[in-house]
Amino acid sequence: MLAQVIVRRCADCEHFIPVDVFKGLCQVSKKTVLTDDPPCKDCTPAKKCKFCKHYSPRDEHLGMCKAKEITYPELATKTCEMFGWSSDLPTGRN
Amino acid sequence: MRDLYFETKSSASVEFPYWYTRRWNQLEGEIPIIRRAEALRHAFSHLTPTIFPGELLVMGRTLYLRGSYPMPWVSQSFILETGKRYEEAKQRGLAGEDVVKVAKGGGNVTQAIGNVISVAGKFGLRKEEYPILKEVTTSWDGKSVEDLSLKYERMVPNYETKEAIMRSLVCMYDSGYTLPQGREVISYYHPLQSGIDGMIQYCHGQIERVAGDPGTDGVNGMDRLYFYRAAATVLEGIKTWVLNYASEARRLASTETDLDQKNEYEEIASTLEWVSSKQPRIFREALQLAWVFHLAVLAEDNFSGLAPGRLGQILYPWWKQDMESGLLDRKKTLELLECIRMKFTEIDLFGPKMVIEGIQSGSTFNNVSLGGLTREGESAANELEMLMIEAGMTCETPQPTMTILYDERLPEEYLLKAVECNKTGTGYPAWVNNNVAMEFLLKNYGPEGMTLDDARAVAIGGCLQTAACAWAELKLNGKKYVIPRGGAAPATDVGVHFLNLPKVLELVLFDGLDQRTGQRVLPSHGSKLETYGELWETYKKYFREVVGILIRCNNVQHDVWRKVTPSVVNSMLKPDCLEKGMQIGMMGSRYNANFSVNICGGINLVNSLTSLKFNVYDNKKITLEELKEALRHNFGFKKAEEVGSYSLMDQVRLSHSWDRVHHLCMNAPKYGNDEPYADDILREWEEFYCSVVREYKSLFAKPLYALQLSVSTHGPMGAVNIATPDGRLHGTTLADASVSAYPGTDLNGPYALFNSATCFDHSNSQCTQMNLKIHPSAIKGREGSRKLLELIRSYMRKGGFHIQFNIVDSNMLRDAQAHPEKYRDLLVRVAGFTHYWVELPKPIQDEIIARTEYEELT
Repeated sequence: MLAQVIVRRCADCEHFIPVDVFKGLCQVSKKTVLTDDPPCKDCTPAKKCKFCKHYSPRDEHLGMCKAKEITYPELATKTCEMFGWSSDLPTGRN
Repeated sequence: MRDLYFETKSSASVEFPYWYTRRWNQLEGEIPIIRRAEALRHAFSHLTPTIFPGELLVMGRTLYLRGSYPMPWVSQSFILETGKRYEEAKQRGLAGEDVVKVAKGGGNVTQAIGNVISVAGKFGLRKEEYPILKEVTTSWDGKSVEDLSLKYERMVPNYETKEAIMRSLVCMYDSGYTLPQGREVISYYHPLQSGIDGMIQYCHGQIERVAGDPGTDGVNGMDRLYFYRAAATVLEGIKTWVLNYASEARRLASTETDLDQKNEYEEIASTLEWVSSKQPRIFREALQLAWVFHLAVLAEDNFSGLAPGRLGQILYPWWKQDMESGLLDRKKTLELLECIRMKFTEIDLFGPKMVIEGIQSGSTFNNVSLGGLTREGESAANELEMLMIEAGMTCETPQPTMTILYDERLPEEYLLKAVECNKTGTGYPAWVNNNVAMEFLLKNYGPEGMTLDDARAVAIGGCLQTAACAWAELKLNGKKYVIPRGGAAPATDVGVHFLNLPKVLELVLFDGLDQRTGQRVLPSHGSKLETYGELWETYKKYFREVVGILIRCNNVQHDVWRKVTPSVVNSMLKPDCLEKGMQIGMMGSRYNANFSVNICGGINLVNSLTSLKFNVYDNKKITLEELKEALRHNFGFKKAEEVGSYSLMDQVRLSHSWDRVHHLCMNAPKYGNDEPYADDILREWEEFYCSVVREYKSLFAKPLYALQLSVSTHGPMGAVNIATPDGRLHGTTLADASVSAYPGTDLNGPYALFNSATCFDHSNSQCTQMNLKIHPSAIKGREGSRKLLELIRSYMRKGGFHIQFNIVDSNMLRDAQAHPEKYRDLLVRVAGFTHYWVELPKPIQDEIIARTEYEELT
């Protein structure tokens, strides 16, 4: 449930395998899901800039990393060595 | 995976440009090649790894299956498709943006849908990523290769003429900041022999050796230090990138419930972990590592046409050892080869629609060469290549396309296998004359030391460009082999590209004025064109003027490119860059005479000159003024754009006032019928063209060479040409290729066409191109296969360089045009490449339908 609070769509889930800009595959259900589909009960937040403790929003689609580098909320950060779950998130992931 | 691909849309990602730009901006003041290498490492290290269920070979350009991304450090004016920058660019090198047609079918995203917007005409982008794309793109203003080139090109005398040439589409694009690399053969040798760690260690050793040592050259000697440092840096990024995929495979395996799939993920992880550092031991590892470096090279530049070369001969030692040890069998090999076909097909290239659609029709030209000769002059064909042809039949995909390097010594069974593949209708393999290719190489690269043995390593880069290659000794599991090392020269298809030859004739006839726009392109020639000789001399004068101004501007572009965004990945692979410590832009490659003048519409030019000579000068059936008036009035027809078809046969007549003149033009002798009247004009043109281009020099101070293929430029270039003296109408597509007949004008059968096409020496040009359309009934059964092989042999024996086929029923193509939803998987051959019918622009579809269809081969 907590995950569903911060995950607004399938593309925010760790189990989402992006196929293209419209859709992806769900690793759990093995089905095709749309990027903007609402999350299901199995969803787990994926690492993204918008969930990172170093992220501060500048406007809806742009933000700052550590207050010095421009970035964007949807940037996947699975490979970012600096990523840390934000303590603002209503989840135990931080 | 093929089914998933058919459901997948072309998708743009901002990840790579974001991470690249972020690091670049942090390194203000650093030495350019180091700054670039750091930016590349940062981008590679941060790409999101995505693995799709069912894959055996993994890794892609982006997190999407069919993903690509812009490279604003090369060119950025087109990316956002709005604003003053874009409008200004369309007055110069991007003049074709408003002319080209983008196919709406297949994976193309040509309009916004929901939270997805369309960028650069055909790529989908998440709406929420547009602001960061804009930030990243505009941050390169004034710093990109495009912007810096424009700044310095303006210093070339008569620069305004260059802009007028581009604006009128006499020339199609600026290679220096559009596609600065590509149409070449990659070299996988270093990673396959040494592994990534071995390469890094080598670079570190060289850094110690060369730091502070000028060597024998006071300029390049000192540069070696930075090159080796850059290479090591990028290799570390590539290693991290591979390991990120391995981690993702382990993560997927840890949560996977299906046991078979779990094992697949585990095997993927093990393979990646091994090849992230060491020399591959087995065929699968070798294939995976080759793919890693193929992607890595594509990532460093706007690359079109990165050919794997003789992949089946390069990987043969691994395959042979695996087959002998029982680790592999034919079925498992075929599965891996089908997987690699899918990976190559997933490659997309992000660029201006004028280039991606107008020139390339969306193709990426990853051409595998098959056959040819060994270093010792024996047939180089092998069983793995037979399986590669088989995979091309069991997994019909546009990439990689294939080319047979035809030599009389290739086994009959092998050749018939390739013919069987042709008969599936996929359009591959193409057939290239190995001897002619070698002759060209020796003429062009002999002055740089190429020998006959070296020339035998030839492979095809891009669609059908003859590429200089090399041999290498491979040590594998205690055994030694000689294998093709891959491409030994940079991009084979850069320079003056593409020249619209009928448009130059239009300028000649109308004293330098573009009749479509009314603008002056070239200074008045002042000739009254009273004789054919005068006309021909004026044509040659204008051609020289165009090439002269374009190559100087092009040299500036490529010079800026090599200074601002030097090649690191491609350079470290190419012989002998790593050995010398020099990147390709500084002539680190073994061969460097790689720039050319590429043409389009040659057969329309020849037919037009023939018509002028026949009707106006020799027989005086019409006056030149009468003909020019007819051309201005499009012979009384509507323009193709108004009709909505770009084929001559569909055009609509408005007036009969010009019927007589049109009739005379249509009935003048035409190329392709073994008639000396037209063929002599072709020969005269070829002799002039192939020799005159060698008077001009590239930025490497080497002579240019002739290069004759159309790709898809005959669509947009036809669109900007008014009617031509051969009877072709305003806006209709030009003749494809370079020695194909204009549709419907080759009336005496294929052998007559071959005689016409080989009336000049093909080895004076880097390539020529012949497309033939044959009805499937003409080559049915085993007997039909032999007939087709004899046809190919006949052309090769006459000295033809290249031939390829559409073996298809034109009625089916008409049905596919009317009902594209029924033909998502239909592949056709265009001009040097195979592509999905539904992703081809309509002018090209119309032209393919109109091509002469041979119903018998006599």
